[in-house]
Amino acid sequence: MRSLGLLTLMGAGLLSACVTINIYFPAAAAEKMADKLIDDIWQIDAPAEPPEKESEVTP
Amino acid sequence: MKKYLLLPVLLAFSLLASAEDAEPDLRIDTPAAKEIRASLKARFAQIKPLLENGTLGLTAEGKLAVRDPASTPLAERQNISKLIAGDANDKAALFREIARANNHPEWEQRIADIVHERMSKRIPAGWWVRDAAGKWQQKQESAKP
Repeated sequence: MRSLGLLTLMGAGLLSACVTINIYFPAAAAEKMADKLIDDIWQIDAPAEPPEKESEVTP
Repeated sequence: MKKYLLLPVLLAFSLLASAEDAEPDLRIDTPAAKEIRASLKARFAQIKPLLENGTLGLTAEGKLAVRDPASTPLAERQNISKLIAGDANDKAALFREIARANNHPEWEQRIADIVHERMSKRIPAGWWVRDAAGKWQQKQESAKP
């Protein structure tokens, strides 16, 4: 019974960590937005260095 | 014992999976944002040749600056100051508007930082950039792997 409580606590900790990271600031969406702005205003062609690879999961 | 481990682990994994693709796009298409973008774009038509010929450069913080004030023709100095100030004001207004439009006014600085960060990776060869130590360097063609 003691270990169940510990496991639940660990699970809750992991849960809150994920939620916190997500709500805090959407870094990936912000990078995408930044690239859009740069394309629009500065009209620079293809980026010299692509942003960090993120696995796109299409629903 | 093992079955008690399964549920928290499954829960954690399902949350991780949904967290990855749960970021909606940030809006940059409000009327106010579009107006500021158009203003930045129009002014950039005048700024671009100055960046290309080295009159202007980008500071470490991503702002426009005159690279060598002494060599800038007197007649052009006032116009150039106006361009620099206008660019800075528009950018500040744009980042403020984007943060507001996405319901997080407190994101203004982070948005500015991320735009600057992306820009610094995409600066065209030939433009001048001032490093943290204050030295001007010309961006070279990046070596393609």
